[in-house]
Amino acid sequence: MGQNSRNKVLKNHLEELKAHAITAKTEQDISRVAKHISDFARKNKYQFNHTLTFIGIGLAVLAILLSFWSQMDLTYEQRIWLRIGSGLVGIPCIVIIYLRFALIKRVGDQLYVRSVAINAGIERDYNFDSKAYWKELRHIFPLFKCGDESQSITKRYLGGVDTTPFTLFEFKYVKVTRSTSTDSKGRTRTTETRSTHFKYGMLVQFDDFNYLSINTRRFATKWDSASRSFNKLFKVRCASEIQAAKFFDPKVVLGFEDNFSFLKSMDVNANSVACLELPDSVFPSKVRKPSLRNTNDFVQQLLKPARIPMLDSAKKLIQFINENK
Amino acid sequence: MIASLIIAVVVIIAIVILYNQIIANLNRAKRAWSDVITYEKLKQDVIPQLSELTENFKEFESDFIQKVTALRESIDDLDEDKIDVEALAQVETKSKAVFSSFKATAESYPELGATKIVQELMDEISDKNENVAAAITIYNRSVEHFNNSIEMIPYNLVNSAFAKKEPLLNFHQSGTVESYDYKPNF
Repeated sequence: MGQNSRNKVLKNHLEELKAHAITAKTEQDISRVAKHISDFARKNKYQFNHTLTFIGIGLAVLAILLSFWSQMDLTYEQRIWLRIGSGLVGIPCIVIIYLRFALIKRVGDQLYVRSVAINAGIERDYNFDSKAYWKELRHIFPLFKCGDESQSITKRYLGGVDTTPFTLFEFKYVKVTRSTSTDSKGRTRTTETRSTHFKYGMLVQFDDFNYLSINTRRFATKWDSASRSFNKLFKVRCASEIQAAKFFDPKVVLGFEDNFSFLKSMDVNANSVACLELPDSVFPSKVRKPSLRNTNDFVQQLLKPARIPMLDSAKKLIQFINENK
Repeated sequence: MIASLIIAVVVIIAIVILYNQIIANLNRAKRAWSDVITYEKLKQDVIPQLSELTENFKEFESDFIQKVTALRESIDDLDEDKIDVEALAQVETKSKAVFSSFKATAESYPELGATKIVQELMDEISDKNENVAAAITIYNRSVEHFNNSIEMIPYNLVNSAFAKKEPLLNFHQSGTVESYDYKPNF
């Protein structure tokens, strides 16, 4: 009864933390959650009581060993049933232990990622239909035409640099590869392999910046600079060469080459909405997360979360474009 | 016989590719030089405004107008088609003298420094100087790449036999390197 209540208390507490991981909006909210965690850790541990599951696993192992012990007076069928029985008890016990560990890790991670996002000045947005949003973006930017199935914008964060708003997105898609093989009897068989991929980036609303794209084929005219390294990194296409040459003066070329080489691609539409494809490290969920089970360390890191250097650089890129466009 | 023919064809193709790379790298360096000169010449846009300011404000030193004239003349001497880093170094030295003197005067006389026209001019000068500095960096990188392409094996063989190009000089601001006691021994 005591063990059950300990697990119940921890489960309820984790549910509370999960809710905070969705609703926290400010650093004060995070401080309150950190205090809540510290208070909880004074009386309890972030560890489920696994006594019953361990007993279950022990019994299952014992039953398996007995089923192989030849001196036991059991028929072949009884031995088989003993093994099936141990599997039915042992496997769910292992699954339960795994799920409990995963629950603690998931809640801790969600909370920490929330804190990282707040610290970085971005806010997770849940108010969108991931499939419909992808369909909308697919018609605007070719980047979203990747994949064969299950495409969706799985997560998005809203933020801004000065007066320029941006949306940070995670785009998920599945690639299906079909391969046909023929056996010795001439029968052909097609096998399908599915692999899930992600792309990360930003949608940025600029003012009057709709005349050039980088590493995408938005415009017909090509432009290159005097710098070989720049040209290797960025394939520039533009509405007119004059506009591209004006924007890419030597200062900007050198800036892109030295400071913004992480930019994978940039596409713009007629309304000056730019889609920047960026490395995955721009996303808050990609930071290294502390474990909730090491409570003191977790609370300290929750109060002083890691920066996202790639997001800072991406913000600098937006500022740089605004200053020079 | 066929093997020799194949080897000969492969060698010829390799020579053509290496030769073309040397020429492409030289042209890239020339283009980078041309950008340096273009942005250096754009500094001339601010010279009339500087002259006008000098006439209107007595705060400027008496030799300021001479410095401006010297800068204009040395900018005129720059040639987009001929790489001449010494001429560029002279322009940069004179340009530094003019703009430092202008900045110092504007800072010494707050009533002058606070005027809109001086502020705008200082911003414009700073922007142009940044662009020239960036263009010079790009030029120096292009020169390094070109020099590598005529000095490294097997490019050096193709260069000495066919292209016969000389290494280009890097640009460095006079007065920056000379003031160090340490001299690298390459």
